[in-house]
Amino acid sequence: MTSTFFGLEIAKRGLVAQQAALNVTGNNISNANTTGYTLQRAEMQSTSSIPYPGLNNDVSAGQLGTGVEVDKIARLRDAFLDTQYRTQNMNLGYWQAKSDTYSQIEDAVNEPSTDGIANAMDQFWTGWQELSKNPDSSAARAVVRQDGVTLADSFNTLSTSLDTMSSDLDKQISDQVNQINSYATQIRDLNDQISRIVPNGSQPNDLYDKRDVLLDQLSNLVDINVQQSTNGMIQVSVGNPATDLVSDRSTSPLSVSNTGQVSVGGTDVTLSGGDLQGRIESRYTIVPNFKQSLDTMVSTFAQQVNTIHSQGLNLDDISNPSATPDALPFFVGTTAGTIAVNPAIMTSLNKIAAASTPSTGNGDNANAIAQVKYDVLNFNNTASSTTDDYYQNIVGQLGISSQESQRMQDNSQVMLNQVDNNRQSVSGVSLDEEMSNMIRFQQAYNASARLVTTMDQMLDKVINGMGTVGQ
Amino acid sequence: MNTLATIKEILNKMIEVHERLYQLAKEKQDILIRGDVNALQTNISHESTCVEKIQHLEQERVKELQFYFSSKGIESYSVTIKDLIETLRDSGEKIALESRAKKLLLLVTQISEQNERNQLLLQTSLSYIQYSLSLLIKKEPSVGYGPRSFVGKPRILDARV
Repeated sequence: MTSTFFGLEIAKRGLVAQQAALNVTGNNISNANTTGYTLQRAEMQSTSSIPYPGLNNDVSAGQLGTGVEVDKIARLRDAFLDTQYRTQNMNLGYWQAKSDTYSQIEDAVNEPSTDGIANAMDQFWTGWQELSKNPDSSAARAVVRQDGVTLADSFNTLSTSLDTMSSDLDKQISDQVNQINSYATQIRDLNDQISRIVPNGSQPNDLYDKRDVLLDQLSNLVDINVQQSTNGMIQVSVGNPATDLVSDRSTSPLSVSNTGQVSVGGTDVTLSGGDLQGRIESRYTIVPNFKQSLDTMVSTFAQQVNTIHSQGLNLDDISNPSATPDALPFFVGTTAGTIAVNPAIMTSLNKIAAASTPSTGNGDNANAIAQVKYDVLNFNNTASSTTDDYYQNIVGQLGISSQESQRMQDNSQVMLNQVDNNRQSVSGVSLDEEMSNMIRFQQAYNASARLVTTMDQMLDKVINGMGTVGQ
Repeated sequence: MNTLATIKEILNKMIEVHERLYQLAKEKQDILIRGDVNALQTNISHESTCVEKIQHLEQERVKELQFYFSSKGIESYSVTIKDLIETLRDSGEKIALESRAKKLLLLVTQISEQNERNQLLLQTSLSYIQYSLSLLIKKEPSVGYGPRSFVGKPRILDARV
């Protein structure tokens, strides 16, 4: 048998539950435009029915329901979609970093153009060709010297740009390492707060949301693997072998050595993606390899030119046939950064060796130098080709790699959009849905309030109206 | 050069149909991002019409080229536009054919890149669906004993064969 105020209690529980559900709906609507907000739902559950089975039960009908309560406030989030999103984000970060680097190198190389190295080399060979026709013309000599200077300058500029790029990448890498460690600290702090709330049976939904936003941002930088731990905390591990960056309430610092080796808390790991890995590869592989190819090209072709030049006779040798010939190299310096026209030639045009025989009208040596354009040279045992072909090859490779990075970046972006769409359809707030929920909860609240009135009138009848005969 | 004009005409039509196919591929990318299954089916049916047309045009092209080569008395096992260009004397015709061939090649590369991208999108969607289904399907008991035992493929429908 139920108590007198049983009906009132049911109505009160209904009021409270519907009010809570309405508050949750209100929270969803207010946060409709918050980034990283996950949809919340008040989950209602019937309270236990009476009477409990026992020896001394009354004989009234069945088990009577006793009303409703809000069991918990659930968070509608799909962990699988989160994993997919973070994988795509990592890929996007990686390809973004690489295509960034490639387009910067392409800008520095600046081909095809009139300011690029290919054009400077063509001018250089043409200058020697002209000199071979007029070996004693000081105008032709000046042109050859100037062409040499321009060519050396082009190499120097490109080499300097590559060096600047390397130091920029160093700075970016160290910035990102700081960023990663800062994210890790924040995640650890959130873990700490969450672990205090979850044992009480509550769901710290806003803290979960904050932590997921941090994880999304972190996934852009490194490849992460998230594991659930006790009390709502998570373990975030990085790289291969999977080393914990954040483990419950502790973090291990991530660092990058000056050889590009990533280590987490002292353990060396290999990253499989992410912006940091893209930058590390750029700094320690892509830029140095390109610089190496450039240096090889410079040293090989300069050596060839120098050999032929030192075998020739310059104007001073011809006017002084008894002294030993100068045998000067045309270029000094063997790398793209250090190559320059021989200072002796810079001071005196006469030092340019255009002749093979002691005659001022002989331009055979200049011709031989002009022919180096067509000579097949051995570039550091990696390739045998003409200088032009070698240069075209490295620039062509650069173009292909750049195009591929761009394409992969576009692919990753498109896939990220798709997964984000899916994620939003699960966890995003739909105002239409919330409006119709509002109506539901409001009407249920009205009905419960009506129930209160009914119960009140009934009680009034019992208390004030029963047993008053004839009044 | 009647056959030459027809060959050019065929190339033009091929370029048109390929452009339409490329448009469809780009639309498919948007549809896959949105996850709209009905629009996807319409898109696929349009695509299959385009593919049929391309196959038909290709057959015509081969036929016309064979006819052209045989009428010139040239024995050739391959019937490519490249060979055709090499046999021409008139540089105007050469340039016209070359430009069309290049455009076609570019379109084909673009279509294949876009298709690869669509494939990746499909893979992502399918893996999500697979994951969702696997939450609902019960685990199969393993068949056989010891090291040769294997777990049967999970089935959605109960089937008694």
